[in-house]
Parts: sequence; structure tokens; C-alpha cells
Amino acid sequence: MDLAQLFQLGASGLAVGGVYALAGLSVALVYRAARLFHLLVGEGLALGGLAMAVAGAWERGILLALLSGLAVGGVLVLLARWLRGREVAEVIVAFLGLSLALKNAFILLFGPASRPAPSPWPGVWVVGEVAVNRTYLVVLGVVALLVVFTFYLLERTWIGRRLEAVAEDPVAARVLGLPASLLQGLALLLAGVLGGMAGALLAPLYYASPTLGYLLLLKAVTAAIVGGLLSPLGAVVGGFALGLAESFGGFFASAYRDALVFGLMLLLLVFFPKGVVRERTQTRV
Amino acid sequence: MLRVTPFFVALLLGLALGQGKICVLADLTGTGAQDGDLFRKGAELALKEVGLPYAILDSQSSPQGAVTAASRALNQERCTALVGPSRSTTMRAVIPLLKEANRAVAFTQATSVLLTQEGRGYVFRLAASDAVSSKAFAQVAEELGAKRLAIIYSNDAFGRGLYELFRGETRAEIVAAEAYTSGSRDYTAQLLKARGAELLVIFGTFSEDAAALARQYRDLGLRVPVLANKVFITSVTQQLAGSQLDGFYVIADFYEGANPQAIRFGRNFRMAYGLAPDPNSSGAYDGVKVYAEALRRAGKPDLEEVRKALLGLKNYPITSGLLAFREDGEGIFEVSLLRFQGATARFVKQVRVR
Repeated sequence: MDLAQLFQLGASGLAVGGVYALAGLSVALVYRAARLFHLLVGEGLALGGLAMAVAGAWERGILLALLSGLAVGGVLVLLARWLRGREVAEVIVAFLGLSLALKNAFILLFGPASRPAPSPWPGVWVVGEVAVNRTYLVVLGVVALLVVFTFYLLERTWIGRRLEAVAEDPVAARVLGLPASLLQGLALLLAGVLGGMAGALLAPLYYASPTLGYLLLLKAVTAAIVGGLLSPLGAVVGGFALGLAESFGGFFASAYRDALVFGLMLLLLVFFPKGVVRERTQTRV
Repeated sequence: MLRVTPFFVALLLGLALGQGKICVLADLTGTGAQDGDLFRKGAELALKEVGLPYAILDSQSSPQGAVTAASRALNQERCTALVGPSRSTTMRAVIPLLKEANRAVAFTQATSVLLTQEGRGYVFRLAASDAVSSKAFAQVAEELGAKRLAIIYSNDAFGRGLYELFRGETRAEIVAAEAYTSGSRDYTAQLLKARGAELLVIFGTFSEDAAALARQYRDLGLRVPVLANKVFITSVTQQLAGSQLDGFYVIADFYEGANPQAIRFGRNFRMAYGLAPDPNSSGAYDGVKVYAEALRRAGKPDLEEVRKALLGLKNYPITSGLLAFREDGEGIFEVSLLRFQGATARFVKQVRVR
């Protein structure tokens, strides 16, 4: 592998990994706030991507994806209330059923066809032997902004500190007079928005389609689990690690890329069963 | 006064031909839904012309879906001809059912050599097989003067099968052979291996993958010439990739301007649907038309009689060339070489395999 190949594989791995990171962060936030596996993350991604494609212009697309993310977040809020205290099997069936219904609704609304989506900075950036899609740079920039915003909200604000208390022990948080339902709702709305934005960022690279999310559900959940389901930082690390592993794994063994990447993730889980990044709440006494 | 429309005449003709019924097995859902929709449209256009009774069933882009649809077609619909499934993996899955039912023939443009070997007497191919295509690819690569080849293929029965056959045919050095999983959409790693080759040969299965490959080829600033298979000229690929296909050579068994039948089909398809015809729609169209012709010659939908009629077709014109079935069900031995100028594929020449 020469330097040019290293740079190009790194750029594509980071851009796609950034999208996985956002999707993984969405999964981790939902789990942290409501102890639910966010199996609708794929549909959130697909809707965000379709919003970008339908909008026709990037700025409008981002706005539409934001709104679609809020809508998915709203559905998560309703689901969290409805499924509170239910058996795991019931929760999984509810999520899978809704996922299937949404996928078919998207096909009815938008048709089965893949659609190209606009890029804010089309074209290729060429330096010597290296050519990099400029959209990668935009994706990385937006991912960085969203991740910083999310962590600022979680770590440095009143909302974040109380959300952590709710995540740790919702009953105790209610007893202490914290608005647990409101905080939980905010976290779920944020998770929906992150999923929608991930789809909007991916659509210019992968095309938008109602089945886009199906491809990415496994990746998002893997990123979150490998990183540590209770750890937003872990989900981000997991997402980037997955993107880079796919990119470089494909270069060394293209036919076995998925087997190689998911084998590696499995190995990580053997050594780090609670995820590679430990969350503070897990270690506190 | 009763207006005698061409459709009415076709319907009467169809009734006069006996109880022959066509079942169209199209991928109406799943990963191949876009191509499947065009396949259905192509079949419907021909069905309007021939006036035979028919049913359209969803093969769901999967072998399991194809088996369910074929089972219904043979046992409930009592069809005497299947048009589709359109992919090798799905067509191969229905062959045991065809043999067990022993009442229908199947037409396909799927290209695996196994289909006519395993389905001999039941499966009739209306496109160049992988064996024919691989020879044509090797011939064209040689004519383009390429001595060092990079190959990218979809890691499924179709892509891998075509790659293996091509590897046996070409005399050029293969400097890289990279597989990809359909739907993975990021092909940077595979494309980067093409640097240093004199020709990049691509064997793709699904249109969305082909479009993504074309776009990423541009993104990476690659200049190596590309010779690709027919999935690069489907309507879906052209719509998604547009001028990113500029300069690509494509070997295909259907091109709208290649012969009078293709021109006529293209015109009628555009008039009916406002869409460009492609190998999916033309394959389904040919399947219906060829069965109707065989049924006309046989006089009844009896399997043996229809088989004899099919084998009696000599240089029968269809959209992919002149059809002449061998005993094994292979019927087409030529392909078209096309080259994209901007977003438009132009005919270069007809390639007959040596």
C-alpha cells in the first residue's frame, strides 16, 4: 500500500465511519435514556437520506432531515412510554413490526427507486496522486459539529447532568423531583435528529432509498455495542473504528471484508464485553 | 359499431391458441425491485401484443421468493410458460420445480451456464450466456490492447461465475481481482487496486452498485479504461450515474439501436411508459414474444410440442439478436459493444464470439 492509497482509504473510512458514529450515538442515547434497543435507527437514516434527495438542495435537505429526525424522535418518545415495563420480546416485536411498516410506507411514499442526493461541495480534491471526494470533508465537518454539540449538551449543561442522573436511576431521579419524562423525551428527540442527519450525510455518497437503513442498522448497532452501549463516546469510537476497519479490510481482503470486520468486532467484545469505552456511571460505587 | 382494436384482435388470437398461460416472475420487492419493475413493464408490453392470459408474480429478489412464486405459477395458476426469474440465483432455484411439474418451459436472460445445464429441456435462454460473454470480454480486452487487467466482480454466483470463466479465457495478466458485496456501496478499496492496470473489467450484478462504482471511480480520479457488463446500461444505472459513465465500454446483449426489433421495442416502450428500455425490460419482452411464437407454431400448450417449436426457431429476430436455440436451450451467440459518450451509450459494434 502506498501513501496515496493510505490517504484515500483513510478519507473514505473516516467519512463513512463518521456516519456510523452518528448512527451509533443515536442507538447509545436511546439505550441510555430509555433502556431500549433503537431498532428504528435504519428507518431514521433512510428517512433522512430521502429528505435530502427530495429536497434537491443541500441546505433544504439538512433542514428536512432535521425535521424528519424530530419526527422519528417523536415516535421513539411514544414507543418509550408505551413499552415501559414490557417484556424484552414484546419490545423487540414492536420495534421490528414498526420498522417493517415504516419501510413499506417509505416505498409507498417515495417509490422503491434509489435517488441521487445533492452534495454541498461536489467534485474531487486532487493533490498529486491523491484524489478525495470533497463531500467526505463536508461529512466529517458536520459529524464533528454534531458530536461536539451532543457532548457539550451531555457533559456541560444542566440538561446533560440531570439526564445522566435519570440514565443511572430513573426512579430515584423522579423521587428527587427531576422531570425524568421530559429529559428522557429530549434525549430521544436528539437521538432521532442524529439518525436523520446521519442519513442526510450518507445520501450524497450512497444514494438515498427506502432500503438504505436496512444496510446500516447492523453497522449502527455494532458501533454502539462495541463502543459500549451506555457510552456515547464509545459509540463514536466504535463508529469510526468500524468505518476504518471496513475501508482497510476491503483493501487487504475484499471478498472477506465483512467477515473480517465483524470477526474483529466480535474479538473486541470478547476482550471488552462492556465495550471498549467504559462509561463513568458503570464504575461508580 | 364495434371498433376492432389491435388489442381485441390479439385477445381473440390468444384465445384461439388454446389454454397457454404465461406467468411473469418479476422482482417486485427487495434489492432488485427497480430492475424488477422494468422487467414487469417489458413483459406487460409484450402481453398486450400477444393477448395470452397471464399472471404477474413477485419473486422478491431472492431464491426463496422465486421458489414461492414459481410454485404458485405452476400449481395454482397452471401456467405453461414462466418468463423470469431474471437472475441466475433465482432462476436456478426454480429449476427443480419446473422438472417436477413437467408442464412449462421457462425463459430467462439470466446468464449462468448452469441454468441450461441443470434445466435442459425446460430453461431457454434469450441472452448471451456467461460462456459467450466471457469470450466476448476476452476478445474485446485483446482488441483494446490491454495486457494487464484489474477485475472487480460482485461476490455472488453471477459475478464470481463470470469472473472464473473470463479468467480462463483471457491471455492478459490479471494484476488484481477484487470482489465486493452487493449493497456495501463503498468500493474505494477495490477501485484503488486498479491503479497500474491497463484495463479495469467490472462484472456487477445490481444497478445501484454499478452506479456507485462509476461515481467512486470518478471520485478517485482513476484514468484506467473500463470494460463493464450489461448492468452498467440499465436505466437505473444510467439515471443514477449519468455522465460519470463517460468513456466506459460496456458489453451487453441488448442495445436499443442494435437491430430493427430492438429499435421497434425501444420506440414502443418509450411511448408506453416514457422510460428508456434496458436489458431487464427487453428480456421480459422477448420471453413473452418467443413463447407466443412457439405456441403459435405448436398449436397447443403441450410441453413436448412447444419444445419442438422452440428448437425449430432459426434466426428468429428478437431484441438481443437472431435467436437459434441449440438442444441445450442456448439461443444467442453475439453481444453488442457500446461506449458511453457523456451519459449516453453509443453502439460501437456487434461482437460474435470466435
